[in-house]
Amino acid sequence: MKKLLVALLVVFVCGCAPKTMYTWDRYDKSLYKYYKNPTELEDFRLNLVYVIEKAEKRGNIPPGIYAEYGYVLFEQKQYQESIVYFEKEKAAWPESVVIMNKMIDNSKKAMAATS
Amino acid sequence: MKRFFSALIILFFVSGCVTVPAPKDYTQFNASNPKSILVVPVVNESMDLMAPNLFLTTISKPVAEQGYYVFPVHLVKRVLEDEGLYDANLVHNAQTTRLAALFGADAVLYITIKKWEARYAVLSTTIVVGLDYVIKDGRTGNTLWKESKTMTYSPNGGSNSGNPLADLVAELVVAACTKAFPDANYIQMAQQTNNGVIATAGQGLPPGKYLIRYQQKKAGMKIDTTAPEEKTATASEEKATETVKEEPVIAETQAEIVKKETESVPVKETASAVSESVETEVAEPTAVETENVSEKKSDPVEKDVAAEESN
Repeated sequence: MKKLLVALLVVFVCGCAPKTMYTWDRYDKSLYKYYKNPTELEDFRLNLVYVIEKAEKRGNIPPGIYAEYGYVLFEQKQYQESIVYFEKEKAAWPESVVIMNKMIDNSKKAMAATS
Repeated sequence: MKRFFSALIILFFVSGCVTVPAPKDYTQFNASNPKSILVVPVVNESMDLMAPNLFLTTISKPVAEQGYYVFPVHLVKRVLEDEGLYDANLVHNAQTTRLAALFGADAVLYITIKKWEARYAVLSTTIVVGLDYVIKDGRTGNTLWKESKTMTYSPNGGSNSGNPLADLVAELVVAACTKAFPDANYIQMAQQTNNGVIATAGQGLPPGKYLIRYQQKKAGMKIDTTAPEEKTATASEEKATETVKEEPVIAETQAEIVKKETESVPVKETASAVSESVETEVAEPTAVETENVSEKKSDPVEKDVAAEESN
């Protein structure tokens, strides 16, 4: 009886909440935490690393995650690394080309200004 | 048994199954056929200053899951600030075509928070979230789609066990939790509203390029090839718990849901219609509970976040 109920519950949950196409994991949650504590940029970065690792393993990285991570690196003045992720976003999503090219330019300019 | 039914009621609410009115006219939308959507910062007409940022964290997922490329909301916010558009009102008043050109977006999604409020009483808390959504064409600035939705939520509406004292205790607990972690309720409400508004057939956004491609691919191969990959994912999940602290789930009812879901492990065969994400969970009984749940039903985790915030 209990098993049947659990099975019903599972079917019910799945019937109503379809599975996601991408692995979002804690992206929303960690952005929320970052907005609550804007000083914890590093924490946000680590969470994004986690999401990227997990999503890459499943081969279903959500749009924008590489770029979001690249931007955090940019804010942390890791310009060279940020370019790597802006490039990744661009390669994964052709829709991002315009803004990613701008971001890459920004990183290059910032790099030139600091060196 | 009673617990089961109260869980069902909660789940029904959480999953946001709603009835739909007559289908919308998608002529303009289909003619424009946007592949990418730029979600710009949210205009806030509520009294809650945190509302726009909280809301912003909930919007990428439903739009992307509907098959569109969604520009990274945080990056977008910062880039717009660099452009001098510090305030969401400025962004909403800027030319759509200019915004779209800046990012190379096919369409722009404007959202206004009309209501974002909680009314507290000892035994009942009511949360109200009201949102306006408008999508405009990035090339012409014409409105392609719009929707308004207000949702009201009273978390303790479902408890009726026949035992007045137990109900009273349950209600007190729920009301206290709601009051202690209002963000979790707001986020949950925003997620439900978004899902209903965006994914409802005939009302929301038509399936985008990536969703269509994904569904075709899924229809093409029904064999479960994910299992070996999931094993490796477990390792990184465990590793990541070291960096991000997870607090125990607070609300009693939600703890129950979590429990029920972990109990569902042996029923893999029975529920053949189970989606892949659930099979994933079944395959990883050792994984962090809260993390698993977050994949399909975020409320316990959001409580969890709120708990962390208040600590």
